[in-house]
Amino acid sequence: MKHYFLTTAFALASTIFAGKLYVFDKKNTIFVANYSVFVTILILFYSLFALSLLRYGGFVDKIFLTLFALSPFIIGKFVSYKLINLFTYMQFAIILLSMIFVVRLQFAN
Amino acid sequence: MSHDFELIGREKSKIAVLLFHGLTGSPFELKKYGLYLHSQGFDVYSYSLPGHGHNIRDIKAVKYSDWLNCAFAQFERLTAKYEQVFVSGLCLGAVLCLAIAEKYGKKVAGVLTLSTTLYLDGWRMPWYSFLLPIGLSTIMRYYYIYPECEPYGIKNEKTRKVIKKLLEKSEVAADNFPMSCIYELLKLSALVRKNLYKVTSPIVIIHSVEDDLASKKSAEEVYKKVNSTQKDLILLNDSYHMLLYDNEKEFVYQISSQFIKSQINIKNDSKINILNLNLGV
Repeated sequence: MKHYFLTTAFALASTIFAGKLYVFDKKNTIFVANYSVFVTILILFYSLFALSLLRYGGFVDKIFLTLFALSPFIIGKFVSYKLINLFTYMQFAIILLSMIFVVRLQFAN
Repeated sequence: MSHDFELIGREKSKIAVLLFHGLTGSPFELKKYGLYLHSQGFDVYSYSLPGHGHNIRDIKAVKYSDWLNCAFAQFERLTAKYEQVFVSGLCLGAVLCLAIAEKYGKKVAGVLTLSTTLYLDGWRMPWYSFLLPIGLSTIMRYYYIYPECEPYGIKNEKTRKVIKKLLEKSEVAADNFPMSCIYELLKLSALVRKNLYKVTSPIVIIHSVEDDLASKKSAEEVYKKVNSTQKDLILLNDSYHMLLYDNEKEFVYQISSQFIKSQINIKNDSKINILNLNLGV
């Protein structure tokens, strides 16, 4: 399950980063729409896989995993159009952190 | 480019109709409807809602409270000038009409809602619409754009071609829906749904059974929950979402005009009754 999480998190981080740089501002709205749907599906799986890892680690690990799983929705709660760039890079950073955290968890076990 | 209009008669009218356009639309979509109502003797007003009418990027920064405040301000301005003010709107505009009726109660002479969008559950919704709650709750709501596509809310194929060309030029409305404004519409709809019981003004709800954006569930819920003593639900069979441009547009115009006239007559009748009571008749 950790491998699934790491793969999904890597794909999500990459698509958000690439999307921000090359896709989201494109004028081809159909392509942007399809790309955004793909990212949304990755967010769904990222959260589900993070929750599925709750059976590993101690109490503090479980709290962190829950926060990682909910991070897209917590960030979504506070995001605004003016601060979209900041929150996007924050989301990107949190996904990278979650990957490091899960790798650490893997070695700890 | 602004499509705002004010249709004011030469003789001072006591009746005003305030029209609200739909999501990503403009008052252009209400122009013919407004002209018809004006020809029936009413003063008609319609203005662009915040975030509409200029750059599509503007709409991403708008909150539903901006639309509400704008609608309330326009209504209050007209109530200071006219004896009776009717409100009518399409899609988002219909939801705003309900919000006005909830806030101002009997001050609203009558409400005409067209293609009320309390839920986005029409048959044109894409296969991935089940992902909407996730998209709306994350940063993706500022990136996802739902492209306007066939049938553009119009069943009549000739009209559809014309609207498609206009949309491509982005002259009269945006050719896509940013998810952030769908998010704001759904938040507004949830608020309006909660307070529907406060609506007591006479109301006519017009909706198409084949509406491609919002199924008739929205109209039925309004009909069921409002507390108006006079309420009518009219379901059309030969139109999609854009009722004012589709096959039954003349019927919609006529029903609207008849409804407003009937409310003026009722008000006049009640004046006569009060006079009779005072005279002890």
